Amino acid sequence: MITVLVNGREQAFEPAADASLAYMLREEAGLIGVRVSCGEGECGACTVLVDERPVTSCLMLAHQAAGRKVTTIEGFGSPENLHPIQQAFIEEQGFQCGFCTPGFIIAAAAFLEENPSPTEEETSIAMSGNICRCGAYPYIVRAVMTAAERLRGASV
Amino acid sequence: MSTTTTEIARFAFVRPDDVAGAVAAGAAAGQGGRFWAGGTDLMLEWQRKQRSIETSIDITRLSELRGIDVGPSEIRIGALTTLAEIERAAAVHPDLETLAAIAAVMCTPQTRTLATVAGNLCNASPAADLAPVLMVLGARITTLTAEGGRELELEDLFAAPKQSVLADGELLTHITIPLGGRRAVRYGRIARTVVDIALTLSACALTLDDQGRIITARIAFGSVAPTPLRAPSGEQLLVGKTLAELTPELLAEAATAAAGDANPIDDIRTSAAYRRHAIRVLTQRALTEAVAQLSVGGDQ
Ligand SMILES: Cc1cc2nc3c(=O)[nH]c(=O)nc-3n(C[C@H](O)[C@H](O)[C@H](O)COP(=O)(O)OP(=O)(O)OC[C@H]3O[C@@H](n4cnc5c(N)ncnc54)[C@H](O)[C@@H]3O)c2cc1C
Ligand code: FES
Ligand code: FES
Repeated sequence: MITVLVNGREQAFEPAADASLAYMLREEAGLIGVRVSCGEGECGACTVLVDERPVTSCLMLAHQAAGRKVTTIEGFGSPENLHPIQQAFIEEQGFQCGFCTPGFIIAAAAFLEENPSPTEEETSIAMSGNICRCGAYPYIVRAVMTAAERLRGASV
Repeated sequence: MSTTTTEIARFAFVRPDDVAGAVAAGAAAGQGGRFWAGGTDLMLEWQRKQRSIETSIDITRLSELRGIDVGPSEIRIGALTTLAEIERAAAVHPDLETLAAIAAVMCTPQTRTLATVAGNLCNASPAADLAPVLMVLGARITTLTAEGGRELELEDLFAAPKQSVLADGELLTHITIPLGGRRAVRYGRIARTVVDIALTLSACALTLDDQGRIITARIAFGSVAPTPLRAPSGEQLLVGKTLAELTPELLAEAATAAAGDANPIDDIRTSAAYRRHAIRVLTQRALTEAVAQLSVGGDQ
């Protein structure tokens, strides 16, 4: 058995030895905001934060998360109180079907933490680990730029 | 150390807390054992049933194998240093700038958090992007088993495609890059997009001695042979020369000779003919940039 701090709550799991973190979060914790598309590290839909760093959870063994801090999209804002990045994605229409959105938002959060004042080019490079099948890329970049501005404002 | 074997699991999972525990687990697991680092290669091989594993030994908690140390005569890179950490290492030492630049275009940001330098090397892919640049930096690797340790040249690690010379239970602990002389390290890489596996990669390093002569010249390639490849034929033309003697004609000749060492194949990414052409062009450009860099820094 392992314990993992998932979205601020200590939880116990009994994953199979070869289960991925993505599988455990979806199937055992019911966190279906963790999307699994390629299952091979290419698309970023399954991106979560582990100890504040972004990882493709489809490639990480669930057991490797023992004792660590995991944040999924469910740990970001709430419907009443959206995270500034979520708000910016809605305002800038940074999605069409929305399948890729949790992964993009988490990748953006990790990126803006490190680079709070990015250029558009830096933003697109930083989002290169996420694929949007609907091709909303220009809107996604705009959403991240807007979120960056808000977050800078919030921290002054 | 914790051990997990559940009924539905198809391998046992062990998580040693230190290096001694890891090599002991490696010895106990024997042929069916696998050190599991970032898992970015292993997870795919496991899921595609390309590899049978009886015991996976999670080495990510071995914090002593993580990080980069710069000493007076060498740089030491811990086996578990991630690509994300290497990507940010340009400020650590100028000789690491090229290594950092290559790490920054490998995989994707969220796989670089997981992927480790040792995993990239031990996976022994002919396309392992860190291998050529570490080879031209003169890197050596240190390994450990329950019986003891050994050191070998990085270029001797690769046996065949996806096969290293390491024995079962042999753990790569760190990579050492010797320092000394004024060194320029350059590379060229062609890939479909920045995050895709390279079609070809060429890296070179030129080192000047106090008299302003090239004391070592190293050229190495990715994706043009069954393993990452050192290209000695081009190197020999450069050693002993002064910068003034490294004319564009000589660099072109060296690049052509180096490309002759390549032995590329046709595959899904591109053709052998294209690779043979591209590797010569990339090498010539990398050598030209390296000479330019050494010329600028000449009066320091
Ligand atoms: C989406 C994606 C994109 C990729 N893009 C690139 C790319 O552009 N360029 C590139 O070169 N690679 C790329 N890769 C491959 C991979 O990410 C790298 O090779 C990575 O560095 C492997 O490291 P790891 O820690 O994940 O290795 P693992 O998968 O954990 O291990 C790989 C192998 O090395 C062995 N091993 C690991 N550590 C040790 C050790 N300390 N001692 C002994 N054996 C060890 C393992 O047993 C295994 O056989 C990509 C992979 C994915 C999924
Ligand atoms: S599902 Fe994990 S990267 Fe695509
Ligand atoms: S919005 Fe549909 S995949 Fe991105």
